[in-house]
Amino acid sequence: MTTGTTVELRGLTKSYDGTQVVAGLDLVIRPGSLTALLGPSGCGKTTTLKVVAGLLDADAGDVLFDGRSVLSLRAEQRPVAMVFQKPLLFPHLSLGDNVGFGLRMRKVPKKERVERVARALELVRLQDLASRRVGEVSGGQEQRVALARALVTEPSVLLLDEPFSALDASLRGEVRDLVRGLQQELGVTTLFVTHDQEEAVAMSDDIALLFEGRVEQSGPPRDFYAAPASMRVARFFGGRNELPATVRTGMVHSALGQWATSRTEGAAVLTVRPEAVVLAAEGLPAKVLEARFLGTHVAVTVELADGSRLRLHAPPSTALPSHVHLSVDPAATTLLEP
Amino acid sequence: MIRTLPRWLLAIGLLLPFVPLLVWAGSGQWRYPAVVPQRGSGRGLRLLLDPASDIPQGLLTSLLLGVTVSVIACAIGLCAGRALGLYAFRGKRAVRFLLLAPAIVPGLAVTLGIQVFFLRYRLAGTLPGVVLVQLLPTIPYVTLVLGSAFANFETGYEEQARTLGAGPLRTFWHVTLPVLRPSLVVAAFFAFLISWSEYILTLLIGGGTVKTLPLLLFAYIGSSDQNVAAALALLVVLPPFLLVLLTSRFLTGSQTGAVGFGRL
Repeated sequence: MTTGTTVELRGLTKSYDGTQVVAGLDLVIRPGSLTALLGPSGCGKTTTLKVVAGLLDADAGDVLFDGRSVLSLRAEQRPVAMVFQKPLLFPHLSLGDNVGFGLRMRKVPKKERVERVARALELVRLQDLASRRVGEVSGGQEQRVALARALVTEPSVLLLDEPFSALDASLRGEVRDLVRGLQQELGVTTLFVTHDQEEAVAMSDDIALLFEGRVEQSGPPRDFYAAPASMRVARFFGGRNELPATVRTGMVHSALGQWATSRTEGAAVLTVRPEAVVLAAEGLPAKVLEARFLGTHVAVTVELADGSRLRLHAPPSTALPSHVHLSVDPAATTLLEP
Repeated sequence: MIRTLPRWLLAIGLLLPFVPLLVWAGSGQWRYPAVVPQRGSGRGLRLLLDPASDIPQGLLTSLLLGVTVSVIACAIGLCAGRALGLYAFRGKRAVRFLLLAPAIVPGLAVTLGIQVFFLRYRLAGTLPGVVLVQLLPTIPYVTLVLGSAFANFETGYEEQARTLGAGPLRTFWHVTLPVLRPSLVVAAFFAFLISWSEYILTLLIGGGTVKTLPLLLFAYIGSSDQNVAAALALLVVLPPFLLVLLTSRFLTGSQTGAVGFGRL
C-alpha cells in the first residue's frame, strides 16, 4: 500500500543533565524496511526513537523523512505512530474508541472513522472486541489494540519501543509474528527498539547496534554474525571463541595456525563461531574437556596444544574420543582489535 | 441480615441526629415535657422558599461560591499537583510545605492579618474577595489529592496521545483530564464542601454583605427561632448529602457505592 519512507538521522545529539545519551548518531533506514535499534540499556535507543517521534528535541543533528527535515514539526504533526512498551490504552474509552482516537484528533468524519477502525481491528484479528472496555481483555490483546491504534492513522513511519517486552514469552512470539506480517503487508518503514538481540535478528531487515549513543555497526542481521565490526559487537552477540593472535609481515599467527591477512601489524584477537569449528580426521590436535548433549548438537569444550580453550558444536550422533582433530576455515574467522 | 448489621448501625448512628432537626423543622409549638410537638406548622419550611426571606438568596450565594471556589481550586491544584507529583525541582519540599501550610495554620489567624489587604484593595465585602479567601483553606486539600493522583499518573498516556495527533491542549482535555477524573471529582467535592461550610472567613472578609447559608444559620440560631434554624440546617446538610450519594463510587473506587449508602 504505502511506498515507504526513507528515514535519515544525521549527527543526532541529546544530553540529559550533562550526560550525552545520544552522541552524533548517523543512520539511514531503507524505505519499507523494519530496522531494529539494538543495544544495551542506556545506549540511547529509546531517546533516539522519541526524537524521531518529536516527543524529545535533539540538541543537534537532523531527522529527515524522504530527504525533508521534520524537526520543525511537532509530535502531533509528524506522520508517525508509536507503540510503547505498555499498551497505554486510554482507560476511559472503549477499545474501538481507542483505535479511533488518532482519527478523531485528525478530524476524520465519523462514518469513515468507524469503517477504518473496523478494518484496523480486523488487521490485528480483534474485530469483535470494539465495544469492550480496557481491562476486559488480555495483555496480548491490549498490545494488539495499541498496534491497531497506531496503524489506523496510516503513518509513514511506525515506531515501536520494546512493544513485546511486557508480554509473556508465549504471547510474545504471537504478537511478534503479527507485527512482522503486518509490517511487510503494509510496507511501512518501521523503527523498532529492543535490547534482545535474538528478537532483533528474528524480526528485522536491518539492525543498527548502538553503544553509548552511536551506531557501532549497522546492516542485515547476518553481518553481525559473519563480520562483527568490533570486539564489543562480537561480545554483544555472544558465543564467539576468542583467541589471542598477532599479525606480523602480512601473516596472522594464532593457536589455530597461520595464514595471510591484510590487517595492520600488532596484537589482535581472532574470533570464531563454534559452528565454524569442525571435527576432522586430521588437523589441529585438541583434548576434549567437556561435552554436553543439547538435543540438536553437542556443545564441546576442547583444549588446544598451547592451553587455550575453544568451544565447538559437534553433530549429536558423534561418539567423542578424548583426543580429537579440528579444522577451521580461515574465512569463517574474524580478526578484531583487542 | 447479621452481615449487614454493622452497616445498618452505622447508618442509624449517622442519621439519628437528624431526627430532632426534622421534628423541629415541622413543628409550630414544642414545649417540655411533651415527646412530640403540640402543634405542627410548615412555617419553618415555607420560609426557606419565601423570596421575602434572605434564605433563597443565601442558597444561591453559597452554591455560586462553592462552585467557583471548587473550579478555581481545582485549576490551581491541577498545576500544583502536577508539579509536586511528577517533577523534581529545587525547593520542592518548601513549596509542598507552603502549599499545605493553610491546612495547619488556623485560618482565623491568617485572615485577621490579610484582612487589611482585602480592605485596601477593596475586596472586603465583595464576592470575589470571599472567593479569594476561601481558596486559602481549599487549595491545600485539592493539591494533596491531585498531587497523589499525578504521582501515580502514567505520563505515557500523554506521549501516546501526542503521537496520535493530539496537540498539548487536546491531550490535556481528551486524555489527562478523563484519566484523572476520579481524583478530580474527589478534589472538587472537598473544595465545595469546605467552601459550603465555611463560616469565619466568610464573615470576616464578607463583612456581612456576602450572606452564605452558614452565616444565615448562625443568625437564626442566635435569634432562637428554632423552627427556621432547624429547617435551614436541613437545607445546609442536603447538598453535601446528595453529593456524597452521587460521588460515593469515586470515593470508594467501586461501582457499587459507599458501604450501605449505595443501596439506600
